[in-house]
Amino acid sequence: MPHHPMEFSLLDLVYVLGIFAAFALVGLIAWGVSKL
Amino acid sequence: MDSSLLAILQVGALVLILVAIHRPLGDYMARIYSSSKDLRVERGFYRLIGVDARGEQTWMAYLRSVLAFSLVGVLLVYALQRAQAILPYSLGFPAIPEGLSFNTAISFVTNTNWQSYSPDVTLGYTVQLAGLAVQNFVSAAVGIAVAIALVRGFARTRQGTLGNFWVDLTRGTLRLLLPLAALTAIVLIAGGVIQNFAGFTDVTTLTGGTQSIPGGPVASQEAIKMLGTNGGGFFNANSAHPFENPTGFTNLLQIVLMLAIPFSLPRTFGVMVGDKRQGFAILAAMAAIFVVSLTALTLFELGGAGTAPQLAGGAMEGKETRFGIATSTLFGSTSTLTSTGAVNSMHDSFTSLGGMMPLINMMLGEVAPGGVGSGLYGMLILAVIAVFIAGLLVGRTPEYLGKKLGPREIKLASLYILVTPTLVLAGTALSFAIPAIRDDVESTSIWNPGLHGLTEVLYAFTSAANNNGSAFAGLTANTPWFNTALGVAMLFGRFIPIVLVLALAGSLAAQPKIPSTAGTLPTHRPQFVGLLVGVTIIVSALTYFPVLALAPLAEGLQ
Repeated sequence: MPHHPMEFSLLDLVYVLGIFAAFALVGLIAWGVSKL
Repeated sequence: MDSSLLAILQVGALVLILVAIHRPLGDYMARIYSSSKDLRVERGFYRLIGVDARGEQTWMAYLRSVLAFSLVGVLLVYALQRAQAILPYSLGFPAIPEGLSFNTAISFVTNTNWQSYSPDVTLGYTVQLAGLAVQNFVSAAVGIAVAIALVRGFARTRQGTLGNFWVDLTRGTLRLLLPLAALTAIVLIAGGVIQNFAGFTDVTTLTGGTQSIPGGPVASQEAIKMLGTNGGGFFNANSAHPFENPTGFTNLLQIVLMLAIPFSLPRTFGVMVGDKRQGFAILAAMAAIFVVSLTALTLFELGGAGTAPQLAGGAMEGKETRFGIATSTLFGSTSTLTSTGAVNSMHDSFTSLGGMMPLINMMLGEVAPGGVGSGLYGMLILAVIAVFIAGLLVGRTPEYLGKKLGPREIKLASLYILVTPTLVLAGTALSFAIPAIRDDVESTSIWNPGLHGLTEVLYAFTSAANNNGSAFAGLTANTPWFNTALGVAMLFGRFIPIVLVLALAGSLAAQPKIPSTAGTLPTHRPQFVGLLVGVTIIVSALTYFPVLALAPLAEGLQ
């Protein structure tokens, strides 16, 4: 079996932060909707 | 057997099966979500995660639970893919690149199952089973839970709560999806779908060459792929692959599985709101659209223009000869009228007008009958709009199931029907409007330039934002732009509508019930079914007609 080192990159950080940001935006929209 | 006779028999068998299961399955689901008793295993699970099963949630608390659970799901599936190289049963496959991991994690958590990769040569068994198959179950259970919360909104009076998300999620998974998936997986194995952990088997072919035959736990994945209207295949060819869908029997079973829960949920709705006729009206509207769409697609494919289609008796490009045209169009219509997105034929090879039908099916919002849960709540939102329009026509305050539809409810329903088209049209437009992205899309992703290329990009965003997952396969989507943009479209296309549905549910549950009077619009009669079908079609037609005219319609007229 070939050896594949597990390496995490800056791009991982960007995508993971992006996931948090997207969910936070949905939460913000929910807050806005509750004020309708 | 004559192919048209075969098609009629197949549709007849499908209708009979769906009619037979509609009532028992619908009633069973109503019992699951109304019962005050917990199973022992459920009680143990609630203790483990620290949930009070009797604790009711407001719409905001219910939503917070949905979002928290889904966020953890996305992060877990992302991490599993990035760590694939060190996981057991990875078949020697390396870690999935960042952009693709992002896209796939969101894809499976949002019940979309868009696949920018070839699964059989990308994913090992641990990611397939611990990551994707788990999400196939729970993302479906989340969809049903949200629909049930909306139904409770209609059924409850002067209450500030909608139930408990964790209880609904657990019951949907343990009492509905797991037993049905286990049972149907065994039937699929008996029908010839493979189930093993054999990895790749090298064989010598008759001509002396070598071929690597993939194995894998396919049947267990296949059952929930269809039952949960997920659609993500174990193999790249999806249900066109003989190991995933070997015979006419497994093909029919897969179609039944896609439709079983979505076509039974209106019964659950009728039972829970205390008027089964209301559920039947919703079911009738769903069925009417389904029949019209299936007929149109089948006629377009049977009448394919050109010498080759005429010799083959129809447009056979991209279709399995073992299934033929009518079986392929039945599968394609079912897959895109639900939110499944599985394919047993290549939609990119459909005739230009035929290819427009899956596109339209998704653009209707996948409500006929739609995804598990999402189809019912989508159709109920359209019912709210239909009642509002009827109210405008006769000058009365609109009310549905004894609930007044005031400015707040109409604003929420209107926002709901705007979210997905915005994502679809903005995503498609951005792919061509930004010069750097346009160059990349045209040089790397689009295999068929011109009008068909535009349809391919439009199809990708329509599929992603509607959480369908089927693809016009002539588009290379494993690029930074498509992985990211489609990922964002899937995430917002799933959760922003859920925000609006739960807000509407909360608003309805808090209202008193108004007794119906002589002036109340009856919502269980054929007249309302016709209105609902009309509103569903008009809302989509007005939104999407310009872009359809630019892409598949223009291509069909060439």
